[in-house]
Amino acid sequence: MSSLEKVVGVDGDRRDTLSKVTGRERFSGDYKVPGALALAIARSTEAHALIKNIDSSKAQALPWVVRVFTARDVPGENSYGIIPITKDQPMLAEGKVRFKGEAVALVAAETLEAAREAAALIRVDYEPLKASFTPEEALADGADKIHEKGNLCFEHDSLMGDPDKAFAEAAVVVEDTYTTSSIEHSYMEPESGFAVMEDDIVAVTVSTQNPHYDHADLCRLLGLENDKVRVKQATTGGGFGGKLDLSVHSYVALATLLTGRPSRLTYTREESFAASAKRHSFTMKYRTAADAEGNLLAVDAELIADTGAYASYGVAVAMRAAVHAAGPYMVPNSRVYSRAVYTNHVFSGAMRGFGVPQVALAHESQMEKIAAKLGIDPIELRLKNALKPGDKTITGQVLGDSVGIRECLEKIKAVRDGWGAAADDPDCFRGIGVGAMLYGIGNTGVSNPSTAQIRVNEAGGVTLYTGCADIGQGSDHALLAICAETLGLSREDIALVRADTKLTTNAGATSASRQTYISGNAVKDASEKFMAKAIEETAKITGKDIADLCFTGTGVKGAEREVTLTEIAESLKEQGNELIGEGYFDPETVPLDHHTGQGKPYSTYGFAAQLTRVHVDKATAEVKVEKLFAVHDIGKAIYPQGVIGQISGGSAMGVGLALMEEFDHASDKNFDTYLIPTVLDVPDVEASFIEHAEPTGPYGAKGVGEPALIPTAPAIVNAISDAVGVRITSLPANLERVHRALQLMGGK
Amino acid sequence: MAKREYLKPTTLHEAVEILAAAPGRRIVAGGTDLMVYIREGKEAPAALVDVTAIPELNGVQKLGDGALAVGAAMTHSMIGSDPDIRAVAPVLSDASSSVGAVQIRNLATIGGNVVNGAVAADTLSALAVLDAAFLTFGPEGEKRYTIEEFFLAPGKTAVGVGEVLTKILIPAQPGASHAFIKVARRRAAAISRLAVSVIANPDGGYARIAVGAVLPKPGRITPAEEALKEGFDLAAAKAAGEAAKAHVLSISGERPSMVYKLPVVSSAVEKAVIKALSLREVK
Amino acid sequence: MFVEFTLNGEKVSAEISGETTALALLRENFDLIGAKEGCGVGECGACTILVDGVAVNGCLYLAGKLDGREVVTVEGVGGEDALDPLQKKFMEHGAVQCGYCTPGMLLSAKALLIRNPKPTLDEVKVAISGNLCRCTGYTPIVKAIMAATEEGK
Repeated sequence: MSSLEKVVGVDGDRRDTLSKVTGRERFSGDYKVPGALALAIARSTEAHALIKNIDSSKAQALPWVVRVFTARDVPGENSYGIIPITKDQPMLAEGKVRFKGEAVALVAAETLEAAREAAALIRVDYEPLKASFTPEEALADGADKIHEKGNLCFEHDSLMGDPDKAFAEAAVVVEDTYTTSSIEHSYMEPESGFAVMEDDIVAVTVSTQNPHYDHADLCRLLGLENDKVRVKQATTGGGFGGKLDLSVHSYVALATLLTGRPSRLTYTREESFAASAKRHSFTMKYRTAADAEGNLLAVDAELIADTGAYASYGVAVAMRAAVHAAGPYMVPNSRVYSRAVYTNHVFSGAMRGFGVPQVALAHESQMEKIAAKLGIDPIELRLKNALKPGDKTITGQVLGDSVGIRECLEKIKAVRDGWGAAADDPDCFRGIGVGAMLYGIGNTGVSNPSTAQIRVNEAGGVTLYTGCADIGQGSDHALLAICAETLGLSREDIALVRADTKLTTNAGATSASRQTYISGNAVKDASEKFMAKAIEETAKITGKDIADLCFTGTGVKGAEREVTLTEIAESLKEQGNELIGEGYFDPETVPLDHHTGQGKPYSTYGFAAQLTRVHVDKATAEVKVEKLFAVHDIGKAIYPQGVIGQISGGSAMGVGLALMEEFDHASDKNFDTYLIPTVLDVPDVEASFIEHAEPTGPYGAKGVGEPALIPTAPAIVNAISDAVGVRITSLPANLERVHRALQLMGGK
Repeated sequence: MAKREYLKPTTLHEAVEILAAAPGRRIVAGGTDLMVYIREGKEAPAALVDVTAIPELNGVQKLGDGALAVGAAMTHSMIGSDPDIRAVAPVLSDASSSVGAVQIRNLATIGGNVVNGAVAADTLSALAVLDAAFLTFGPEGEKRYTIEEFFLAPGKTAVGVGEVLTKILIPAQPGASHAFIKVARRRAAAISRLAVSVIANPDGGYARIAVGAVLPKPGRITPAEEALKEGFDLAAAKAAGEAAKAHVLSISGERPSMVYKLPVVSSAVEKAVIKALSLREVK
Repeated sequence: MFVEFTLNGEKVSAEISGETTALALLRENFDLIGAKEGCGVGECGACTILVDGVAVNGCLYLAGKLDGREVVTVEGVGGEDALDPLQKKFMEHGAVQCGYCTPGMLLSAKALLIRNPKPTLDEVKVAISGNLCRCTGYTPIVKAIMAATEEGK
């Protein structure tokens, strides 16, 4: 340990990787749970129907079956959901089903085989209702209502300036309609968890991004007080937004509460596909206006998202999409109308970017169209309009100092100039494309605080307590760095207790690229308060002046001897006090006005630009992304390798979004037909970052998890357009769509 | 649930006896398809009869006339890396190397690819242009089938219940050049949208062309071969592509999936011919 | 039925039923939890194990076939005190994020290096093309494997 060594900005060794490379790390499904009941779920075979009767007698009569549960067994309120105004999802269907695959009954048995056999024997009588599979169908006259309140889940308006006047006066107006597909998160670890009774507490160990939210909704579903449920995050095999909603949690908790026995449930991949959230598919009608020099004058966007059978994060997605509709550009006049609409698809929820990857396709395509019309270089056009510190966004927010979009664009411009011409190939077309973005860090226009504590442990060292779920991205490593840097320690000196609702307090969800920024600040605050308290108490113990004392990591040192943390803690304990640093941070936001959408949705934004070169096979329309350069303004890299890892991983996900991923609700059951990129489908990602320090961020940091994905698909689509001269407006740009573009090109 | 038996005969006669001894017994080799069908509930065999230890189903034999007899239990990895197969039938080496990804190629066998007879099975167009023949062994002894006799319909072959596919016979292809092209939605572990196999020998005056994943069963496209024989040049390659497209249209019709596939049959056949004959460099 | 095989260098035996997969056997009978089920249909590679030095999908591999063979799981590649160069390089290069694909990735890479100690970049990519990873974008994994081969050179 040396207080002179920097920790922030240094990679160091993550404490989870040794057990992961040796195969010893236990995910939820890897634990032995003695005496655990196996669970299986009977799922709806109908997309939209009333439940007339559930007959579980045959299931109940099977040997080894312990109990069958239906909605009437749910002791609390049978409705949950992340957003307080839309808790519309039952854990077991009650009266009606709203999507094929919805849970109708739960079986607990002594063996998994028996549980599954029993689930298959449950007979449900349905009275079918008219199902809607697109927002248009759902909003049409005569559509059957999916929820009591109707099929419009949420709508959001935003207005700034005078867009009509701007369009009337513009030198150039471009318009188009863009669509994106439903996407499956495809974390490698399917949902899994188990529950045991710890005295009278239901303790759930689960794969999750959101343990403290899980805890709250489990209490609600089970009708239990806060202190009667415990949620512990197990090592989690990826999430990408898909493990923010409850999955297996409520089933293991219910079975264990009502039988008193441990229980466990791991979704098969087929079950995960059928019953977990998807990325919202969007239809986006855009008009964009510019003057003759290419200065953007106005954006008018109408966004409609398929939110599926339940709201989940639909409100957040529709709102965030609207806020980001103009991209990282200064646009003085705007009108955005965004809706999330219920359909009878499996629910759409949060997925990396919350609607921003969708609108990025639209605003980045519009930029290309303007550039083409005006004969301006596409990067120059973006530079001309890129936001600067002090500029206003379309919600009227005046940006602070950390606005690195121009630098990102300058960098990709230099890289593009350096790529030069690729070798001639008579069998393919080549093209280069750009994508740029901004992304608000944290939740949209609402309080979303994080908390953390530092305490002294039995060994006399410090322990960091955080409710922040590390889902593999490395937030533990980043938070430990912030804690260590602040305390003048190394990461290895700090013990960590993470994401256990009995021991930690709410850090908010691991989503919205918020943990480094928000929980990082809470950890920094906790560390500072811990030091201050230790010094203050030492001053009392030793009678020294606070100014003469310094925190050493293991204690507080005055002129002669060091007072250990244990001594300080004991001294405080004798006074009925505790040596603790309690940290808190809530980013400053102003809620968006209901009519105008104006406000300050986030306290800071990440920015990025990416550049790709693609190759389009003339004979087969296969697209290969040959090169991908990414540069992200992340404020400050707390854990640089983690930042690069996020950019590289996000870009690969963007390749999937651009070229192949399209969840077919009727037929995709597993990875044999739902294809995500393999190593042969992604380029060697050249990931880089710039550090435009955010004054409110911990050591200047912002966030990167979602920004990583957002510019990729637009860059690829723009590169395809550059290659073949025809714009693809619907994702994915699959074989059929690219081939159609090649044919259109031939016709020109 | 009844537990299923796993049986592993070591001779052909034993295999045939085991298969005949009780109903519902199913041959398994690599298991890469069957295990999935069992998981999906599409198959529920009473017993699994693993034929991979039977000597006749293993290895590659060189026959007197330069032909090869390829054991049906050879995995795609073995076929892809076998020097004798590479020498005689590179189109098959390439087709086998395009199946699934490494782990699947290490398990899945050519026999399984053949007897399942899936329309999109990667090796079938290659076997068609190679004029492969098939040997089976059953209660009535050994039978030999041509490719036309062997494939009856999508997913249906001439192999009877209780019979075992033992060998795939590949005639020598002196002086011919080969090409295989697979088109899929991604570059590994993906089902073919389209596959093209070409063998051409301008000196011998013959060409064989077959396409996979667009026709109900594997077979050569004679009109395309005739067109190519007109000159074995770029113009003939283009004509072969057009002829292949017309042939596919006449059999498979204008289904929605054909909007993409039909024009690409034409351009991919042309490209495969160019590649086989090195009419210009194809990367 | 009864199978005897070598597991990470030790002779072992087990009583199995006909449809038992190698993946289920290793996880349930031997508590070797490195191999994971990601899809159950041979598409994701999280269950990859080596049988006689060759990478296969444990979820499709019938346990009955193991009789007389040599099996290596990630636990047999190297323990905490004797890490394989691949494991070290995965740790150093950020090739591990959530870690669910990691054991399978390591075994696919190991199978390649057993046969071909100095592979090209393309050979490395082909070798892991049956292993899906959703976190890293593969770039750090490929770099780690290349670094491990260089160390062996």
